[in-house]
Amino acid sequence: MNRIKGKVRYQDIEGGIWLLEGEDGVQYQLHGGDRSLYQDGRKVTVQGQVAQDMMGIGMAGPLLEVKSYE
Amino acid sequence: MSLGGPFPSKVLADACNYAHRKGVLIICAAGNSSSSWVSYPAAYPVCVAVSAVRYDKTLAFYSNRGRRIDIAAPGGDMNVDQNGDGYKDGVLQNTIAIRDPSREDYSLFQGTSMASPHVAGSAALVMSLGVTNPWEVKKVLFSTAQTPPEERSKGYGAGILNANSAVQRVVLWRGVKKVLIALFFLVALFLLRKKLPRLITSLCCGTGLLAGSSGFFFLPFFTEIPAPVAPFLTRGLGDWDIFWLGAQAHGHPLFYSAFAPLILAALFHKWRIPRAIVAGFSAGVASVIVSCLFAPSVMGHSFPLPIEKLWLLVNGIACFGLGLSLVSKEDKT
Repeated sequence: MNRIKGKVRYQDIEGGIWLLEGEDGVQYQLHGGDRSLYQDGRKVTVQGQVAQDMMGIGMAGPLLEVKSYE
Repeated sequence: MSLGGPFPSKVLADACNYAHRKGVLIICAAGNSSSSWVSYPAAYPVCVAVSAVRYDKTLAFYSNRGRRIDIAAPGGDMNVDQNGDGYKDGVLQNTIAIRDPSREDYSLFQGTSMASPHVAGSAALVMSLGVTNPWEVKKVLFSTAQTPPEERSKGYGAGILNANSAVQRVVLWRGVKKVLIALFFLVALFLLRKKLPRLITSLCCGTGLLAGSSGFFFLPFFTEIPAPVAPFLTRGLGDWDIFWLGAQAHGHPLFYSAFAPLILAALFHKWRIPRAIVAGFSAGVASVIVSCLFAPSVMGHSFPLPIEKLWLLVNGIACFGLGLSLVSKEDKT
């Protein structure tokens, strides 16, 4: 389980994807979580797992499966 | 494939290798994290990794880049309107509507996912011309790619995809090579006959020769050919299986055999002019069949199985023998 601090950002590529610009310098792609997480510019700390066995059409970084956030 | 992830997977790698072994050319989006790594499956050596360029041919801001890119293609950039058409420079496509999969829609998109199908479509065009060997298709696409505005190693691979050049290259070069090989066969035919043909005979033979080998591939460069006859007029017999059976069936044993020349010979051997045409046709078919054996890269299609090679050899000899007997018949009558 990872705990990642960062900023939620919407990017209009591949029809629209949600990223977490981590303070660790990594750009994650958000997966899961509820609607209120997905606000462009929101600062959050996400608890989740970096999925090693998933891929998608976004291709903009590791997929972060959200377990909880604050 | 317009999908990917940052981690390798054995299952995916095995699947790609398997498809590659079966003659599939795998073309993948390189990824959208503006970084110098390439996502998987694009990163596998058997896959072609495609980066995205925008209207001014520079790399799009989101595109992955670096030395591991194989080729670049248009992927759109929605932050600009460089072509001045009043719309953002996305790639317009018809797909399921955003956030409503029950509807379809036309929308502008940007991404290496939009770049990769440009390459796949161009590869399909090349394959539809009879060049089906993945390695040859790649060679055509890479060698005709346009010079990028910056150093290739920055993330353009072989350069920027140029579908028109790729198609022209195949039509012209493959056509010219096929004609030259076929002419060699025709000359051999007359040398074996030990007698020079009359002008009218050689003209008829030449016409048949083109029909059997390259087709009249040069005609579209001079005049417009009506669509229904164009495929059959501009392509040799060896490519006709593509129109009837699809590119996957290319190399069909019936089209790479003495079947058509034999039938034509049976129908027309009694008359001098048609006989000369069929003789040339047989020599043309023989040249294609034998080239598939000894110069597969000219044809762009491989026949890997020993039984296929044997079939080609037997039929190539049969076609040539048929042509020889037809041109020799003239001496007796």
